Formats: sequence, C-alpha cells, structure tokens
Amino acid sequence: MDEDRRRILDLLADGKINADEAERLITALGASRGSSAADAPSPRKPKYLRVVVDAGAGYGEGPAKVNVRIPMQLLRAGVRLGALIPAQAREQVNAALRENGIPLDVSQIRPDNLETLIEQLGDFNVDVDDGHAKVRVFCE
Amino acid sequence: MIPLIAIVQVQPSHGRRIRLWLPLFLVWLLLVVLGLVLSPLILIACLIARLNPFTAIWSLIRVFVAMAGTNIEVEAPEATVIVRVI
Repeated sequence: MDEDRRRILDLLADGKINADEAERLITALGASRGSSAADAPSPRKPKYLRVVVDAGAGYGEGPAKVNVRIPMQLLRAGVRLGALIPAQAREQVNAALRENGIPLDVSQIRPDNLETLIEQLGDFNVDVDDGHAKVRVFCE
Repeated sequence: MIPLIAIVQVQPSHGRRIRLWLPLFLVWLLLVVLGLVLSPLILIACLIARLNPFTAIWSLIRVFVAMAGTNIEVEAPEATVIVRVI
C-alpha cells in the first residue's frame, strides 16, 4: 500500500474524514495516477539497425572495421518484397530454412507482425567477442 | 523521400582520397525509361509468376525509397571505403 492511500485511511480511522470523503480522495488519487501513466512517453521506435565489426590483427587478412547502418524502413520494404516471391520459390526457401533448423513459413510474415517485431527491437543488442574480433548488432 | 545522392569515398592507405557524389536521381530517371521500355517483358514475367505487376513495381519503389539513410563504412589496412545514401 502506498503512502498517499495509507494517509487517507489514517484520516478516516482518526475520524477526520468520513467514508464518502475517503472514497472520493482515493478515486481522485487513482485518476491522477492513470493520467500520469498515459502521459508517459511511449517506448522509442528504433530507426536504424546497426552492425559494428571490429576485427583485430590476428583475424583473417588483418585488422578491419565495419560499420553498417541500415534504416528500419529498408527492412520493412525488404520483408514486403518477400511477398513477391513466387509460390514455388517460397517452398524452396521454407525447405532450406527447415533444413537449417528454422521452421519458419515466409508467407506467414505479415506487415503487422513486422511492426511488432521492430517495436521490440528497441532493446535488441547482440555482443560477440571471441578475442580476435568483436561484433555488435543493435538498434538505435 | 527517394534518395537523390550517394556519396562514395575511398581512402587508400597510400594515395589520394577519392570522393564521388553520385546523382541517384539520374539513375532513377534511367530506371524509369528502362522500365517503360521493358514493361511488356515485366508484365509477361509477372503473369508467369502470378504476381500483380503494380504490387511488384510498388514494392520495388518502396525499397528504393527506404534506402535513404543507409551508411556503410569499411576500414581495412589497404583502404577505407565509405558509402552513404542521402
């Protein structure tokens, strides 16, 4: 129980306010909290997918850094482009995904699902460090 | 908005830096002309693949539009390459 609510109940117990007044106060308290929750900023939608690779000298042909920034719009457009895959090719894609342990039907990816996915990507962060190279994938 | 310029910058470890501003709007104009010339073939391809040609073209346009803001930087011992789509 929070402090404001307890104070109202204490006033009621002390007889300083009656039950109707206590009810009105508690209702007003709940309404003010509801409006402040509604005013809270919605979670930020990520605009870019960022891939940063920092390979050290002992990796491949020498040290290299890669920094790629891809607009989320491009991901959206790319997934929508997936709807244009002919049915036969789609079956092949699904079969290849299944072979690699990804039981996904690409025809089931809908723009609504994609929006939900992108909204959740705000907290997405992958960090891989194998001693020779660091890979970081995140959204910003 | 459709990207209008791409900047390609190449900085070799020894040598002059090359910085190119590529006017993408010219590429889009060429693509429009090419699309009009090849429209019968595109239509036939869409019919064979059982696709709506308007949906297909619109999806491609969306991809081009969404390319704005893409940024690729590769830094290697031999050279640094930066590609920006504005």
